[in-house]
Amino acid sequence: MRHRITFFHRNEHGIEPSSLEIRDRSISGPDLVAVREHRVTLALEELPAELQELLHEIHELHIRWSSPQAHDTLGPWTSRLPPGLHTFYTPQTASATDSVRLCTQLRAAFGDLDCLSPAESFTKLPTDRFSHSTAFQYFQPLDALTNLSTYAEQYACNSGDLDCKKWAQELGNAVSLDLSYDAISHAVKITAIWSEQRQQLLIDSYPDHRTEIGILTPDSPPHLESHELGVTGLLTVLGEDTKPSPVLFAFPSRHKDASSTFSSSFLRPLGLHPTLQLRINSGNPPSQDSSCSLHAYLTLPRSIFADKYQLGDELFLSSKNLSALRYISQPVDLEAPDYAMNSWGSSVLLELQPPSIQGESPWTAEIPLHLRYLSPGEGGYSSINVPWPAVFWACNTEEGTKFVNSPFDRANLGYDGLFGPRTLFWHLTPGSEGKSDLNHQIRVPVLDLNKTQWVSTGTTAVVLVGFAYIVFKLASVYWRRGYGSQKPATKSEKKKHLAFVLLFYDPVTKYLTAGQEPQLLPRTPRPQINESLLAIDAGNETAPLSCSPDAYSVHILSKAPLVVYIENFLSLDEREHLFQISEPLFEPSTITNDGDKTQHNALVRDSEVALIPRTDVVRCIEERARSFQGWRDDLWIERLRTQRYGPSQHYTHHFDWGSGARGWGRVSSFMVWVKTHDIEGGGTEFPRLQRNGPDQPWCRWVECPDPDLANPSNDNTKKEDGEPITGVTFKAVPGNAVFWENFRPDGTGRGWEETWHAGLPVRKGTKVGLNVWSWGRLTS
Amino acid sequence: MAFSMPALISRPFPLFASAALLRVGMLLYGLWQDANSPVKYTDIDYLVFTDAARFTFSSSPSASPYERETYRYTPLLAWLLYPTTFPNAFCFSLGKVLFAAADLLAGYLIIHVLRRHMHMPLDRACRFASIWLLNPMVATISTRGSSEGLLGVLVTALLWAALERRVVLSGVLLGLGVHFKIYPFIYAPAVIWWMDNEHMTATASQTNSTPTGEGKAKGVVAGRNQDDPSTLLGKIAAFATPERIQLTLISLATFAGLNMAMYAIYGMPFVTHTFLHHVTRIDHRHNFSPYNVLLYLTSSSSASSALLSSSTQYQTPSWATKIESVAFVPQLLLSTILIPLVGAKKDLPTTMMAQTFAFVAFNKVCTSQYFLWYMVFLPLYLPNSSLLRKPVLGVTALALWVLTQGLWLQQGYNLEFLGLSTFVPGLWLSSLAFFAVNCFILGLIIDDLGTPYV
Repeated sequence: MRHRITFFHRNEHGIEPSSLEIRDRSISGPDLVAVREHRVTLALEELPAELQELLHEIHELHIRWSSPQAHDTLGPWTSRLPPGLHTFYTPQTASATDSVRLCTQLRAAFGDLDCLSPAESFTKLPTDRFSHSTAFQYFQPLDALTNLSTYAEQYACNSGDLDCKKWAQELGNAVSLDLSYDAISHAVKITAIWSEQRQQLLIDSYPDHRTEIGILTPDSPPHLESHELGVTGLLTVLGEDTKPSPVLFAFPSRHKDASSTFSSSFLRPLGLHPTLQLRINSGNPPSQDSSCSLHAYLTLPRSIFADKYQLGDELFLSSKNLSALRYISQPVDLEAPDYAMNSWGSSVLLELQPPSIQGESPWTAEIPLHLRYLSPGEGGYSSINVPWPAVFWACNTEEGTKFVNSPFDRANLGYDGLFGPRTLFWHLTPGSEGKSDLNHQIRVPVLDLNKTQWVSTGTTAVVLVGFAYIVFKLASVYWRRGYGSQKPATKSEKKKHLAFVLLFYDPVTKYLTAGQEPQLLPRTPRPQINESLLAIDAGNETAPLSCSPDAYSVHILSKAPLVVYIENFLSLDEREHLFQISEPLFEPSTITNDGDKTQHNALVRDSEVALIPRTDVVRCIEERARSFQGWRDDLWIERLRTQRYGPSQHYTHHFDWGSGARGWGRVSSFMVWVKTHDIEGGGTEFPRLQRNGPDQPWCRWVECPDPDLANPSNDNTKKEDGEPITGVTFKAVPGNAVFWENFRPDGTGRGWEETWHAGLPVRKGTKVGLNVWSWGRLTS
Repeated sequence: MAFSMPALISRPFPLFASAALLRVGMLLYGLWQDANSPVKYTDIDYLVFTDAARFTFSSSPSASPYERETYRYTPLLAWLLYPTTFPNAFCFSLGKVLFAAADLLAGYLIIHVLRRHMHMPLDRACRFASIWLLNPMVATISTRGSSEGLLGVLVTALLWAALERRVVLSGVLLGLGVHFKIYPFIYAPAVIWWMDNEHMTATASQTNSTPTGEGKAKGVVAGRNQDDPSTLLGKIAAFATPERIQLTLISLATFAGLNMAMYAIYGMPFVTHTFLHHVTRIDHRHNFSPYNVLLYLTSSSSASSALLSSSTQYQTPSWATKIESVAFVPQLLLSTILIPLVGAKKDLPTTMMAQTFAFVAFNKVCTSQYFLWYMVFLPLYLPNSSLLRKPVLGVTALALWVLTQGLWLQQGYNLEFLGLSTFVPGLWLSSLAFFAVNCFILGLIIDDLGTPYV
């Protein structure tokens, strides 16, 4: 380990050489007003194992940190960087860039950095131009080294080593820190600089460390070249020298102070395309005898970027007092939002265009930038840090100039690799009156999270309403004119398409309610019901009925839902009786939509109905219907009704299930055909019922395609209106009946969609039917 | 004044001459402004195209238009712009000349469709075509160097070719259009559905039949292969006419052939930038789409949860994050199924207008360039539109369209240039209002589909 401490003071702050006291391994003297630099050089073996391991993967690593506090520079430390943490990195192998180790270590040392791995977070540097540039770059604004100082105190110092701890604590006040490692020298060089201040001169050293102390001040030795810096002063190697040795020497320096200033600000209002304005107090190049150009080097966090295409037009550049875009990290995504990116951001080198008439008057250059979308935040604004750029004149030096072997050489600053090796950088001092922070804190409008609670619901609702409105408009056009070029859709077409829509509607609703398992209905007591509509025997009316034995035969058409075809449900006498008692009672049918009010709508149901009196014959039929349904409680037959359909009368598709009280309802239906006269049409259609097997022998009772295709004039493959047969349509066969259950037997109270049915229009003749509905508990 | 305005635009020569003059004037003005002002007349996209053309015809071994960042188009466009790579200011503008010429060709086709297929006298057809030809917005967009004009001519040509029953040409144009900009695929169902026997067998000389509307002669379907239309198979067989199959195959072949050729030349970057980019894009900078603010919200929350940065965690309903993946459902349902199904056989141009309108209004990204996509159909839709029949309705619709756009633009200005956080409620509500107005107008267009011509 080698340690070099250099004080650099102005001429007027000089101290007497004799006032220095060197004793043993320590030096002391009067207080000194100076800039101080500590440089520690460590061999790889002197580092903790963890760091050694990391450095083995690294070919080159240069960390440069610069404080956002405005400060003057002095002596050889005149180079400038945008404030923040700059990292330049070349891995040993390309695969090492995927490792998170470097980022983990950087975070441990410097605090919360937005660094995942070099592959994700670093940008590539152009390695083809000059060999002295590293492969990758990373930058993040970082205001202070407090985290590093704690880290050093804990990991670099022995517990009892107070000097070490003091030194580590002082890191928190440094204005600049460099850390360099390369695989060739196998050494880590750490350089920290503290700005000019009055300080105590008292340094102790360790026996095994070489510690060198320099107290220097500017001087001009003879034959000083413009790229050289002359110094004079005293050098002491602690433990070796007994008195300081005076020195006067010159060395080449890449960086010099241009002794002019600039300041940086954003034009108001910022908007999403803020303009960074650089105000430069002089347009004069620092050196008249070499070609110089003024540059601004920006390190832009990823929330803000420059568009290289916008900066490609000469007229545009010139209007902003810019000459050219010399370099920009590649690639810069011009569209992605901040939160979708991992890369740290971009660096930009712009050549500025000083006024053509050189002079001492201030002038400005403007750099158009663009903000990305940032993550939504509370309050609607997020603040980001944009560091001031480094502004410098780059001047060519004479052929053959070399900048090697300088004791204070500083390279790998990001921009120096973009210039030729003989370039001399003259730095402008950043700062303006009353402003010491070299970071721009800017406020970026973002989506206000406090106001977004309605965005999801609102957008969805508006889009769905808009969509429904358009669908409604399309449906009404379709209703009026069909889908064809002129003729409107036929009724049956519409009906079928409606059935089609309903068929799709069901899976859609199922998808939307996915996750909601059908709920079992609770067992509820029987609700208040209108008993006059049920066929309930009064207590004194229990006279035994003498019914003739049942003569029907049953055929199961479907088990789920249960649909049973019943042959000879009514005898001829019963049919005659029903017809006779109904005849004087028929009145226009009503339909029920909500259980309470009844209404008549000939478009939906066009027939005549009779609520027939409960004669003995009727009660026998009730009893037959009741016992047909087997061993169950809580089931009542509703008062029987007969229906008469004349020509063109019908009942459109509907369900029988009435939405009554929860857990109770119309559990089953019989459609019984009482009488037909010269009937054509008038079948009972179940469009969603499956035809599960060969048609025979069901064709006796249901409509079937005619196998005789050879005779197209007798086209029975279609129903009356030319539609192919789907579902099941029962013919009206007097005396027979069809029975079906309306609800699923699983206790959820859901109905069977397959029971959707219609009384098709009677084309000719009349039809009298009997409805036998059973009312009861759904959950039995 | 020697010519009154109506006289000027009622005859083809003066109409096209003034449309051309308008564009030449704007082109020259653009050259002047570009040379003299830091604010450029030329659209940034034109620089992308011409850069891409330069990259394409550069001598480097990796010559590809996709060397240019943000080039998201087919290489055909870069090829078309080959002349712009000549080192000459005039040659540089040849692309704009091409786009402007495409405008004029689209105008010519519009007049053709109006006359031949909508039986409009020439003077009236010219007046309607002037809505496109003399539209300053259209002329500005093409002379600034945006390629939307090429799309305009492709789409009008597709309509024209379909109405002319040029099946092969329609197929090629459809395939080319989809290869160019994807969205014209919505016209495929409309054209295919429209191509029934009724429309495909009526001869063009039948002056009493309008393929786009009423009065088709019945009975000309005789002689066709009469499959039994009652069974499903029969229906499919009846639907799958040779013309429909031919159109489908040719358009697919054109599309696939072009893609394979481009893939063979330019490889994966072609697929990534031309197609995949539109699927995966997450740049939700503010635009007119009703989804915009929601997408900003959901994309950021998914990004932050992916990074597990707990400091920026916040809650959006879980279903909301799915919006992005289902937003295309209403859009495609309307523009590719429902609107063509109900409308295509009645009135193909109006249906295509309605499809485009629905596609743009329900899209996840919507900028004013997209408005051009349906504007090209305006001259074909307006003649039978209730917007013209009922001027109050028309003016109201236009006023609402302009007003809600204006509202949005004001909010956008406050955000973009003043840096005010207007996302919610300003920008959000105005985009929803604009969407609602779009739905209202789309409803009117659909109503007109159901109204027989008067």
